[in-house]
Amino acid sequence: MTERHERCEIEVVIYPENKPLKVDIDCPSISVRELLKVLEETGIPRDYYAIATEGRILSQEENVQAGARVLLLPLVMGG
Amino acid sequence: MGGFIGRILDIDLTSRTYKIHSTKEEWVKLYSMMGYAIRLLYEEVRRKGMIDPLGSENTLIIVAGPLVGTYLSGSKTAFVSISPLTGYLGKSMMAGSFGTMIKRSGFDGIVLRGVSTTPVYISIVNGAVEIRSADHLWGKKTSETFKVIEEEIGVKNLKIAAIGPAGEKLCRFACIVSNEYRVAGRTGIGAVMGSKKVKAIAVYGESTIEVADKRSLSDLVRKHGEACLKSPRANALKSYGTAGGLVTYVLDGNVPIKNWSRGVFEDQDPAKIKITGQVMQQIYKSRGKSCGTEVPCVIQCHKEVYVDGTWVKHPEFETLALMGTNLLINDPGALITINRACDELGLDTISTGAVIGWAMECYERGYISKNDVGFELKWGDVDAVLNLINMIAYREGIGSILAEGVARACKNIHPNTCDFAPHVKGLEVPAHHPRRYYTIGLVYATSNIGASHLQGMTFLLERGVALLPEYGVEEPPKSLEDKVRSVIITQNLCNFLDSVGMCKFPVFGVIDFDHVAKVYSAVTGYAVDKDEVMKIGERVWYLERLLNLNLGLKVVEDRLPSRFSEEPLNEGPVRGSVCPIGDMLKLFYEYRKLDKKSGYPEPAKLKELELDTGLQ
Repeated sequence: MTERHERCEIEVVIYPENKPLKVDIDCPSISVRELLKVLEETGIPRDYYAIATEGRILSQEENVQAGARVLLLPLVMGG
Repeated sequence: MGGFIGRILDIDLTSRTYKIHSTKEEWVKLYSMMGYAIRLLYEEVRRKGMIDPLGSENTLIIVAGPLVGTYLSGSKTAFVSISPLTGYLGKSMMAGSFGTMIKRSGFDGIVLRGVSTTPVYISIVNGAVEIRSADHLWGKKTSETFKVIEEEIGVKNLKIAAIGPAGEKLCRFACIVSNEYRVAGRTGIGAVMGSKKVKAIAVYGESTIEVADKRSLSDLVRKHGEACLKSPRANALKSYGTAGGLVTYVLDGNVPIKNWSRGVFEDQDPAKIKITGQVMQQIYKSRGKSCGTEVPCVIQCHKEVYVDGTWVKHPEFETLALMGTNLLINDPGALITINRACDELGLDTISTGAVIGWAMECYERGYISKNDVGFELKWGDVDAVLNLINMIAYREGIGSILAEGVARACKNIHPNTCDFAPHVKGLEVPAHHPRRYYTIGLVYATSNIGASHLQGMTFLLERGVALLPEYGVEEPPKSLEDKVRSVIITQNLCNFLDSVGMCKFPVFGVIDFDHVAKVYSAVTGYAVDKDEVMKIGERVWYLERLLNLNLGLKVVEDRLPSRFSEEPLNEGPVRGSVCPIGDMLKLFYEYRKLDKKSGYPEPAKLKELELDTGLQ
């Protein structure tokens, strides 16, 4: 029997344009690692971006809750 | 020996004479070119004993490695001397075309000895050397100096490296600025040049720099260029320069805020942070270019903004952090002005920002007063910062104390203020945060020049954007053991890149060191692989260490300011975190095979690196 997940949504705001992007996820949350994988399908290389919310960058293991609004930042990582 | 010219210009400023020596091939093979300069300095120290960095016995050595002028992003000229800040090795890398012109003019490097009695500048055009009077230039800011020298020599595309008033006044963190506005910023190299009464060095040359295997090199250039174009990290640098990293670093907890005492800047709200490369490029017309007219580069991270009818240099990340978040200034226009002021006066923006941040904390805590400064010195006050920058450069009032650097100034103001003076071995701490990236704390503590992020860019590894699988670093280091190993690996690799004159940006996270080894082989004709690349870098690190030990370095100076290891922040992304520097240092000494009491490398290690003969 196939497990069925209720679908939820989060909003990813791309810095600096502040362009919002709606992302469908399995309820109730998605890990940052998984979210970056999803975003990679839209051409955003996962190793070079970070997800931030509430003034800090989230680790790959943390979860983003459904309905959340998070920021996508480039890892420029220069000197 | 492709990539090398084979000649070194050796100028005695006291007698105003010069000699030309052959470049020693044996040293070139062992150390490449920056390491060569350090070996030369080592010989000076062994001959003379302790050296006053601002005295006539100090030597300033300027060299351009084999990749300078021969390869993509081979842009780094090394300035090496005894540092007036630390009393130990001083070195700083200047990007741009200056080194290419030294080589096209017929030299691998320039050695400056002695002291001139009156101000001079040195003109080197197609190998012809002249020591000219600089009486009329003394006191001038850098842009005016460039203009006058360009007119006097009258050669198009002349490359000039000059000091500003700060170097003349022997400010211990004065830098050397090129007429492409690239800077040899760190360790007070500008003060050494000022102590010798050398206002500037101007070079131009048309000679071809030969390489060993042109055909292979051309293929390697093409592959590397393609890798840069495909690399997200390189493309991010291309879009915004290093300034593009600021917003991410603020949210990552990887910047100094209020002299490292706070963890929150502008409520950590990206919409409120105005000093990021991204926002500044929305406000100002901007353009990107290579760091020098003679430097082929795909990334072109050197950014300029159009202000008041002219193109001026965009502040780099380090400047935005040390002068911006550190001093609570969130005004892009102000930071452009501050950046320009420092370039004109010849001040290192990292040390200057760190010194002012410390002075502001001294003021806030009552160690210095309005009477001492001449005005209020409050966080975020742009006018106060600009005033203080001028006072430091000209050594006016309290500026003369601050021009000594935080390590000396804190002893003068009040010993208690040394507890929050951010430096290692006397060199002020740059922007990357040891509470966030523990490895950078160890890099600062064990760098041979004091606190420098460019002596091991480990934050790239910890963040996972630049792994080194060819050296066994396949994932971001998690355990302390792996973190320490990653520091040692990157210290060695950074030393190799500096020694050959290669920029670090198109390498880490862009291309592997197998490729770099092939490039080095194609340019020089020495067949090396990635292991030999590591060995050259490692050898240079130990040579630097031996030099410092000969200058009196003690184990206790391999340290980190206690603020990073004993004072956790109670807010922001690094809340509660302190750098476990003690544990890391123990491992570092074990892995580097350094004696725990004396700091000396074990004899077997020196033998392995061929540093056991003719040294110590």
